[in-house]
Amino acid sequence: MRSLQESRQRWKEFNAYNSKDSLKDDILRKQLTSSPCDGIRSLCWKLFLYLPDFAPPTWSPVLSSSRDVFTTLRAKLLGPLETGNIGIYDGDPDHPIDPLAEGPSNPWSKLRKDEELRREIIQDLERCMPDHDYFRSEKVQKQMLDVLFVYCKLNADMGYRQGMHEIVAPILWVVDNDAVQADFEEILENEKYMLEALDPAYVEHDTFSLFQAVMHSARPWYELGEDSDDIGEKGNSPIVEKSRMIHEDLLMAVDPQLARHLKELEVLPQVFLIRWIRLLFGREFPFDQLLVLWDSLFAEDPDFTLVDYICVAMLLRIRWELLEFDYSMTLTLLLRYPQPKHPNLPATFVSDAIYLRNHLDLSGGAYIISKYSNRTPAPVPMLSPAQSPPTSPSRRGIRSSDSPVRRTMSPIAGQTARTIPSSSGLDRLVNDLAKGVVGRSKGWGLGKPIERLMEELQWNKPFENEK
Amino acid sequence: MTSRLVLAIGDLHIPDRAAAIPAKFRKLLAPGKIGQILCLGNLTDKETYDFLRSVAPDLQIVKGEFDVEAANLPLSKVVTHGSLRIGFTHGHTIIPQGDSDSLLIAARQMDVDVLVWGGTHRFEAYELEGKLFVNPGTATGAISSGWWAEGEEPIPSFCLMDVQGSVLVLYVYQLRTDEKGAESVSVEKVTFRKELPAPPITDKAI
Repeated sequence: MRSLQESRQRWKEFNAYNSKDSLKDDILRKQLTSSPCDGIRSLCWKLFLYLPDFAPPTWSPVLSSSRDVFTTLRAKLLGPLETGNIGIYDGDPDHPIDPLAEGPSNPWSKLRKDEELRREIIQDLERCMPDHDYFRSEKVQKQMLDVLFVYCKLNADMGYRQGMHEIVAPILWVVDNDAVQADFEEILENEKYMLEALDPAYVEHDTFSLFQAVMHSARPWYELGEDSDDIGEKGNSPIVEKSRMIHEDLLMAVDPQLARHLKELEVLPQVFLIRWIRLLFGREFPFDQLLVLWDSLFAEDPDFTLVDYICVAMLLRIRWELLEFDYSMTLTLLLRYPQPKHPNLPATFVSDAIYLRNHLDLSGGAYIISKYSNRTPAPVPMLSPAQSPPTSPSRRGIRSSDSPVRRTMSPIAGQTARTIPSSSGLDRLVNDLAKGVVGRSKGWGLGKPIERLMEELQWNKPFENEK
Repeated sequence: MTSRLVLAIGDLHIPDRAAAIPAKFRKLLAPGKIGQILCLGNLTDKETYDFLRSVAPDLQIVKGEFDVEAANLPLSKVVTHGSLRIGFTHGHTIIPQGDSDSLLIAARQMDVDVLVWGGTHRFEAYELEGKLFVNPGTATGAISSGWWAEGEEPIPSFCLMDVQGSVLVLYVYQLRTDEKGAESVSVEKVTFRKELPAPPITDKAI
């Protein structure tokens, strides 16, 4: 909750914009310093996700109707649970409804299903954002629970899926935090629009509307494939298909070397992409940086097609490490994405993604790679057919997994080595030496311990290309 | 939020006087349906205890005179649901056993709105002085040492309680056997409202 004084200043700045586009441009331009959404983010998200028009006088009907919808839904879906009046006392008093009877028409089994759904959600909420005291409060967990419950009841064909709670959490935090408590006597004329949009009485309502708007685009990522069961991501679930597309189409177009490398290592893209995408990168970046990333994403593309390109941009930024790492190190790196450092904060992935969307080719990829590492990837034509025939992936795969030492002598790696600037040359040398040790130690029967040691050494190595 | 249904069950006497909880009861008491169990004692074995635990992990239990293996169980307990305090005890310490005046004294001493007791193997539910008294009977139909009319036998029964605010709805489950020996479960409903002028005593004993 903010004071009127605090939000008044933000609102003044906000009024300098005259359209969604001007606000969006400023968000994308300023992402290196601070977001124009700070302090008034709740309003900005509403604007990008469900308010159709920028002009403040047009907000009121949309806000009140979306709030009414939630009030009605909540009363209908949650009311019976809270008041206990679920029709279980109706009917013939001589033939009471048996609470223990099975059958879908029994209101008691409906009640049991609802209670089960709520238990399932609560289980996740208890572990949600463990470092954030805000989310430990009972009131906050109840609000998240009710929002999720109403959404899941509305989307009963899908129900609750793990991850949704981590989408709701930042939304609720933003809406709650940006709400403004004000006395209506002290407000200026046009501030009433802001106060209506940031009304603390409707935190839960607005959280639901925002969550619903996000899920409108994010829902397919949570769906299971047709021939898959409830246990695993089998079959052709949309998210697995999307991961495959990001790897084999998008990444292949901008950085074929990295795409092939990941394929050789047999790193399944869905292993890390499911988490990246379903949580909208919520686990990959610190909370405050995540909000700024969402600002840019919501402003640029509320349909979230940009998410695919953001994933590619994230892969490109760590591509040099990825190219050198083995399977387990690669997975560790992808599932523990390095913390972006100033000025390359997470929001820059959005501008990279926009660039990649417009330049989905080798030069586009090379531009993004060199932007953050000052190194350009080996030009693909250098892989002349003689050196690297089309069938080479399997051959190279065997080699590189067999002996990491020999890989440095392969034409591709040799090519890369030549382009390394001197600053990281030493590091590269250490790396190669380390791999040599690992390779030899395998012969001595010391493979495992030394490998682990080396892994640790390399893990502790700062990601200097980020600077 | 777990299920809000509270199960009152007791006087099972397995394996000394009955082999098992009737199959039709076991089928009804599937896991996940019950939020809390008030067990009035005389189980008397470990398997029955484990079964009840599987029905609902929140198993509140008091000691019957035959629960010799569990010496540390309390003789009575009180739980709160909605605005109702519900006390329960096996009843062998209330003398004369099942006497309504003695039960009323016990209910006042425990300061409860509802007193659940057992020991007589006979279902009863009545209001007295604004308090509800419930005896769920025996879940197995185990014989009792009390007085029984010629040809009369204990009927297997248990109770469910659903508390919303100050209203308690009691569901009574009884296993009936017709002349041909076919079993069926009957369900009856009794509603109790706290702090309303007490209606005439309704003795639901069969």
